[in-house]
Amino acid sequence: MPVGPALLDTDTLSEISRGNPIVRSHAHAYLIEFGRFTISAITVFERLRGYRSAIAAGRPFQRQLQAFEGLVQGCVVLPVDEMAADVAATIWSGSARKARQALGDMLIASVALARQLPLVTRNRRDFEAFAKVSGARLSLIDWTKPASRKS
Amino acid sequence: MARSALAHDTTVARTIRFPAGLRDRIAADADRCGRSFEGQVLALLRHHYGEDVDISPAPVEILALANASLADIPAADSRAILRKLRESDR
Repeated sequence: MPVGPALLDTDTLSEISRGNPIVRSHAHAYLIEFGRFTISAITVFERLRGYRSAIAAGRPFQRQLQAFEGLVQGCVVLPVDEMAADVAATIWSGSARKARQALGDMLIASVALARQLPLVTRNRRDFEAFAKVSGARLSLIDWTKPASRKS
Repeated sequence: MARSALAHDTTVARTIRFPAGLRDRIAADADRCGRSFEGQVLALLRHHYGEDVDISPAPVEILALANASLADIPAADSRAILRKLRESDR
């Protein structure tokens, strides 16, 4: 359990939504401790565009969209502010073309780095690379692994 | 200043006995929301009576919303909804 609030990446929120039991166990313990999830506006954008594109294509997902909007209302949503944009520009300009493809993750990493928040993700490799390019330290937490037992 | 001097005509003191379990839950919520125990009790009551008070939803409610956000969505549609932002999306 982090000592303070942590930023959840999009994949982590997806795993919670899918009902991954290990991730949900971590998430439940986190909510008891901190009350709300902290996510970035990028995650909100990624999910909302998915629902709205599907609905525009005739899929009946209004109920799921409403649930997601309710979920977001209960979260702390961090914007991509000036500091995060600055960090993102550093990462983007220092990254290879392939790494630049993961634009959403890059922006999420930038929000976490700008605010010095730990990031909850299963994608350690990519986020470590972003942090290395930024020159700042990023603490990573993986909720897909069971919590370690205290002896 | 004495506490009684701070109270005005519209404030009424009441003694309420809380079951220990409920008291602990309210205390934990109060700590999370940055309120005193008394402030949290008042916030909960105001929220109950329809005032716009910021109360953290219960963990089970938040997790239920997360679950409902993908419930009954076929796998192919789910993959599309959960697709992440790529540079090539521009």
